[in-house]
Amino acid sequence: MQIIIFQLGSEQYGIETSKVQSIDKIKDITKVPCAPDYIKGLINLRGSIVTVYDPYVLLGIENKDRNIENILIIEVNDEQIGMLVDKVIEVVEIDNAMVKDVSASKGDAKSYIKGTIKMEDFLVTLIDINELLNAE
Amino acid sequence: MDTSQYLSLFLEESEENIENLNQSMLELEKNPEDIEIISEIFRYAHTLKGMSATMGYNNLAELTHNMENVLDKLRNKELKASTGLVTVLFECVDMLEKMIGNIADGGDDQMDTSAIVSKLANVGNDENAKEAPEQASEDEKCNLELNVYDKNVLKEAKNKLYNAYEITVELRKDCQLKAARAFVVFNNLQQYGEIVKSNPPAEDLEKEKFGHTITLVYLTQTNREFIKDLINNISEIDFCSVDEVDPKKYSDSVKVEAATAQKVQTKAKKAPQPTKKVQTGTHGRKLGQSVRVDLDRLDKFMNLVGELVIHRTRLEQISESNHITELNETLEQIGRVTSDLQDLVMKVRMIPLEQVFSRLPRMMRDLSTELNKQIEFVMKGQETELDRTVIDELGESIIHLLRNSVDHGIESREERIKAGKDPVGHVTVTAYQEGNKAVIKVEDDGKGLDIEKIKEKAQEKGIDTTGMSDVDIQNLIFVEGFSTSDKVTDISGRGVGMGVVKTKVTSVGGSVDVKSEVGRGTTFTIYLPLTLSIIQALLVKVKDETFAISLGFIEKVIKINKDDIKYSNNREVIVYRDQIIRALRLSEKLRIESDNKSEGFVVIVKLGEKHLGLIVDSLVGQQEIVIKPLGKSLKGLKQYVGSTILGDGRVTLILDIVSIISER
Repeated sequence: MQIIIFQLGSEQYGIETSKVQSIDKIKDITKVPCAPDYIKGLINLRGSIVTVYDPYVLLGIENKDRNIENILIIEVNDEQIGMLVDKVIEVVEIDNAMVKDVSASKGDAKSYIKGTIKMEDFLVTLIDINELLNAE
Repeated sequence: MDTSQYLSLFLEESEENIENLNQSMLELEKNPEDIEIISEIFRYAHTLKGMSATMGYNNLAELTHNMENVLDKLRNKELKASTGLVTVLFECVDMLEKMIGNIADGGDDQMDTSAIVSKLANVGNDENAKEAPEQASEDEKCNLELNVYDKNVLKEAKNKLYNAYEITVELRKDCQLKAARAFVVFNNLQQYGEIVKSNPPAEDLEKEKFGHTITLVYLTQTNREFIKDLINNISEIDFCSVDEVDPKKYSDSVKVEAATAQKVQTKAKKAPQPTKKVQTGTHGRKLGQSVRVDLDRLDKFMNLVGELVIHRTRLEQISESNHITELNETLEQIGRVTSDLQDLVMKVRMIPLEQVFSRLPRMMRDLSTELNKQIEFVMKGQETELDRTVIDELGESIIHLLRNSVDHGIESREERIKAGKDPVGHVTVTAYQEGNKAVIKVEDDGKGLDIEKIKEKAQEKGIDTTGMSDVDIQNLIFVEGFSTSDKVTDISGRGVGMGVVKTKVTSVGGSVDVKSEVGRGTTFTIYLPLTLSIIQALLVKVKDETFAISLGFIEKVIKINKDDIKYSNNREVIVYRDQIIRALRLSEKLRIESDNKSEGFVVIVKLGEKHLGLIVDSLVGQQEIVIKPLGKSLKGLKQYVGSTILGDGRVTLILDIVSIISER
């Protein structure tokens, strides 16, 4: 399977490319007052309005000192959504066998984490985006 | 005159007229004395006549003219609209329809109308006499009338050694398919000879318009016994007699001849008709004057137009900021075309409420019988037009409100009399337009909502009602799972009702509220947006955020200073037209941190009777915006109806005034 690896704070995460429609540069985000805090706002994506999620909140990443460069446009439940990421690192082809199940070892099973992948110099956490958004 | 360009218009209108004729005639059948219905029918027929004459369809015009004559007699009370007469009129309309069908198929209006014309002509004269002779002919065994032509044939046959027989066949009384039996008789006989004459005539036999006796004059070279066997072999034949024709029996009688001559004439004329019928039958469906369009396509169309509007606004902004004057004219043109386009696509999607309303009277009638409550049901404003999607979603809600009114609102007859009310309950549905909203009211004069009961129920559900106004308490019935009915009936009271209504209405961007007075009745009011996607909006700013408010709700915008905001009951209020209305800071409502407490603008919005002043920091301007729905995760936010893309490409939220006003 092919995955996109991106940076969130100090960690690397990945999602399957089949879910991702495009990678865009960060643009003007319209805030939505009263919206849940994991929603960053709305963007104009070539004429359609897309809700942008903040994975920092969703994944509970503390590091707020970040430099956002990209938005991943993902299709979830027939809806386009945007996800803010610090930076897209690369798109790689991996073997399914490379995905290691972590839930058992860590004890607290998080349904949205599919597993981890050991790359050459870093570890990638593979996310199930549907589960992540349904969890909220 | 070349009329071809008007053909489609003519066909369209004719079909409409035919439809109207059919409907009015159904009415007439129910109320034969109603002169108004007769006049209506007359009008439709007259229009049809005028149009077809103009188009050069003289046959059509003539038939309508004949029809008019009868109608005229009806109007002048020279005739009575008996069932027989109405049937003839129906036949006539069917014929007209067929002609128009032929024209639509590219043919002309040539059809044999003599039969129907003579029927029309006779309908007045022997309306009463008509049925009697028919009856008589059924009873009489024979009495065939032969004209000169027939007699000549008989004579000739005799010369050629044919035998002429008069055959009387009596079908069994319980015979099911008389026409089929008659056909078999004819068929068998025709294999061995020729049927010269039959009474009743072949056509009537075909249509089963006869008793049980058929009399025939038959020419054959076979003998009597053979014929008898031939006929008796057919099942369901009761009796059959075969006699030699006695030429003397058919003595010349001028009177008879005259009468029959006429009959034969009509018969001869009629003959080509069946073939024509077959022809029309095999033709494909007539040309469509309207096209059915998938709603999805219309949605797409609408979206595209929306997009166009966005880009137009954007172009205007670019031209303005860059001072490109050459663009102005073109932009104006584009502006005009896009607004026309917008109007058009909107209109295409609009349908009258009639579609929902039309099934209501029937439902109310059934309900009133079922619950044994006498109800007078009135509908007003069914011509109000709404977006297709809104109407689709709406039907159920209106039905639900009506059921609710009849079941819970209207008291039983005894109770009403006791309360000194009219024993007949009144339920009214009214629809009308207000600004860019449509309003639908369902009113009844029943017992009204019982506030105490609702309070009790609220307590059960764990809702605190202290400090709530009566109106607020009444509106609790829209909370899901809230029903004040003691028992669950078939009609309503499952406790899901009003909640569902509210959800449905809100889902199309509308709102619903209830006003009730104990003992006087209840009024449900539904507010709906006329169109779903393109609206005029005022853009306002709170701190750095821009929001859009639909102009439809805005009554006035006033500049205010700190001193204009007063306090009452520890709430901020403003005085507007000698009325104290609640002032709401948008920044507070939306939880935006703002330090601006000194001055700004107050946007007075109105929903039904309710006013609210929304305090904003500044105004940006007025603009046409396209409403785009919010994503799933933001659907739950009641503050917004959707979002839009402005001319400069930025996204802006559209405030949901309906929920802001009704919530507070």
